[in-house]
Amino acid sequence: MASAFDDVLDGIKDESVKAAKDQLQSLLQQARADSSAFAQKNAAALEEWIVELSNGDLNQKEFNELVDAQRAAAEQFVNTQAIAGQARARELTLTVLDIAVKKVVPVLIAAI
Amino acid sequence: MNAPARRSSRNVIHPVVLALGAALLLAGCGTTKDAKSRDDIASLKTTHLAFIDEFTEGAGKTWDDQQLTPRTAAVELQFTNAEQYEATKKKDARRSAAISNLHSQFKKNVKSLESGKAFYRPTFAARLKDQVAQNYDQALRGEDLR
Repeated sequence: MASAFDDVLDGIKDESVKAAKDQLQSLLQQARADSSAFAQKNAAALEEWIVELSNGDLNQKEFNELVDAQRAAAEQFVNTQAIAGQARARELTLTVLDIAVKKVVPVLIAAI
Repeated sequence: MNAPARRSSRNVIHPVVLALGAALLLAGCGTTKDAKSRDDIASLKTTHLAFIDEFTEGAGKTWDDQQLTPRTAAVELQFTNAEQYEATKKKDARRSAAISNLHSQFKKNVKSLESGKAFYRPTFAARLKDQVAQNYDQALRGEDLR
């Protein structure tokens, strides 16, 4: 069954934006299927805003402002992913050294 | 006969040396936990969302330019204090970027109210709050991951 979002896109008959329309639908489909809750939530929000824009619940200025806000949140997400990567790398290097030196090696030396 | 083998073993970096190098590199990156920084971001989230609520249409509300200026100044002061605190300690580029992103979002919201000279409409305000909250939640997740 077509969603309200699909109906809105299907209503756009201008051939000059067909490629962009197809690309948007494909990317949103991928985002909806993505394992990241962040990507799924953003895709759902964007679809909702497009429907609301088409029925007048949002105007273009409001829509653009929401897109800007989502872009900022996405940049924040990328920044946080970098912190997560760094934290993981720290765990695999500094923490592993700490455990070896402070916990395992003393017991090993005591047993020699 | 043994010379090439000896030379090749000399060229291989021992895993412990690699691990120590990575550890030193990470130690220099300075992404450490800071309870005050986290509290600052959490507090800014509450303030920013309340600001959006305050400037959303509602019964008995009438637009007044004079109301926006002092409320904006109060939130700006909170951002400035948070940024100044970050400037007093070891530089953490990721945290600075996170706060700068949130501050920039607030400035955009103010600019939109200033130019529109009208309260946010309820549907838009609800959607905007979702996005702004999401932005803060990501920043807070970054604090928790450190």
